[in-house]
Amino acid sequence: MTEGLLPAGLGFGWRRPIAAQQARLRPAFVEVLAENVDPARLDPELAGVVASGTPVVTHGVSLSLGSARPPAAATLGMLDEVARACGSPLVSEHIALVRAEVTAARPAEGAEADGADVVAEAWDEPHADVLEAGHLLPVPRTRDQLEVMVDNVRIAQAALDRPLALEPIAALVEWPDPQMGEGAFVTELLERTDTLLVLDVANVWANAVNHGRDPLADCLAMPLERIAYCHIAGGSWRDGLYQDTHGDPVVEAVLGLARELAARVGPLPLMLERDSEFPPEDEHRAELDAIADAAGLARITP
Amino acid sequence: MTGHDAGPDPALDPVRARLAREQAAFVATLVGGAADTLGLDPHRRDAARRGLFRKRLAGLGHVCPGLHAGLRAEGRRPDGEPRPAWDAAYAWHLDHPPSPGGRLDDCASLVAHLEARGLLPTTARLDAMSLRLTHRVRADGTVVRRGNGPLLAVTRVLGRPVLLAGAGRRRRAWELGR
Repeated sequence: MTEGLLPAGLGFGWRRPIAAQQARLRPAFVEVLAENVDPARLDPELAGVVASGTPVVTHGVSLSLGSARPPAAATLGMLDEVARACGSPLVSEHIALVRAEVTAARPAEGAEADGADVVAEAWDEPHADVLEAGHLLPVPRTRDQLEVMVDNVRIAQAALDRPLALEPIAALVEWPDPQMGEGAFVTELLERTDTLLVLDVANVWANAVNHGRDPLADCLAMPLERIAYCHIAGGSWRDGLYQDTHGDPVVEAVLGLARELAARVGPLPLMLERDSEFPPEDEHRAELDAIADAAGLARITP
Repeated sequence: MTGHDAGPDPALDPVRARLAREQAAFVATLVGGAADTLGLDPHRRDAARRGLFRKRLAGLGHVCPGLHAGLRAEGRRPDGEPRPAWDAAYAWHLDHPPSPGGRLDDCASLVAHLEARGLLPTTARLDAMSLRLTHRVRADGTVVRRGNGPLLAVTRVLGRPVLLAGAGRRRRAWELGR
């Protein structure tokens, strides 16, 4: 794993609705969602975290590095400003797309759509419209996609004043006809761009179980030597598939994968992501303790 | 920092154009309700659509908590029980991709969609009042933001709904329902 940027230890995603609870914890580091931060006027509780010297990672969700269109300068500028305001040692984003370009009107509800009617003619068309996914979607694991993504990541790196780490996402649906496995795609992308890895243990587990693969094998196929830090999050089963909701408790099998990873790689910077359905404080602390114990890290609860 | 040139590689323009077509079809299928032209696994595709809907609702809950709470309560009903507002919201989701204008615009659109069908959850009334001050519904059902004017917002103070109005530094508040 990459040493030096973040200390090995337990952290969490800073969230305004539970900021008062989180202020009573002693994290090794925290992560902020850049889109929720005003760099010119940090939330007082977040400013307190920054002032305490706790490392704060700037994590973006809207850059869409997997899009055919190059990353937007405005979004890169926003990430850079937030990172400066928080003194972030690194910026992280996703191996994903969150928007696509369209030029024609979408079909009306219930109408049979012809694919040719809903696609863009070119990524740089002056009148291209934007179709927002509203969330992270997987990219096709093809050579074309990899070449474009390498180019996009290099553009992002040139605009950011600190190291960039990339996170493979959880995806219920995959593009048909992949030309490489996820581990190979991620490894080549990170090696060619000299970027770091945000390894989300829950994402790896979800993708593996939903597609009939071995979670540990998928985990070990990732470029573990490039880990900057790790995520862990909760989810639940719906429609016969495991969904990475960030609004449910971390399931035991995901804790088990974190335990296996720590046994092979050693203590890691690892953080809990919880985005909704925030539990009572005692439940939240118990979950943090369970994660710390599984990963062989010091507890951060009082 | 890698010191690379900041611009895209022009040699990739044809690749980007080809990829853009595929990605537009993919996104339109998952969030735009378009027919699947890519041959995705139907079960996983539909599960992904519903998963994206739930995550979208959770995101909307940050700006319209009452709307989220009401829909979530319906969505948790056991299979077979009627979920009219949930179903209407899901239909809206498939036909209304997330607005580039942000969550507030999305909430206004969804509230208008549910109100037009008489399905707005009672927990969303306060959200709807706030949204009427910032957005208006056109005759065709689409929603647009009102122009810049004095601040008008409905919020809660000590648990009671309050109308806020102001311009510049001058603010006034009226407690509602008294």
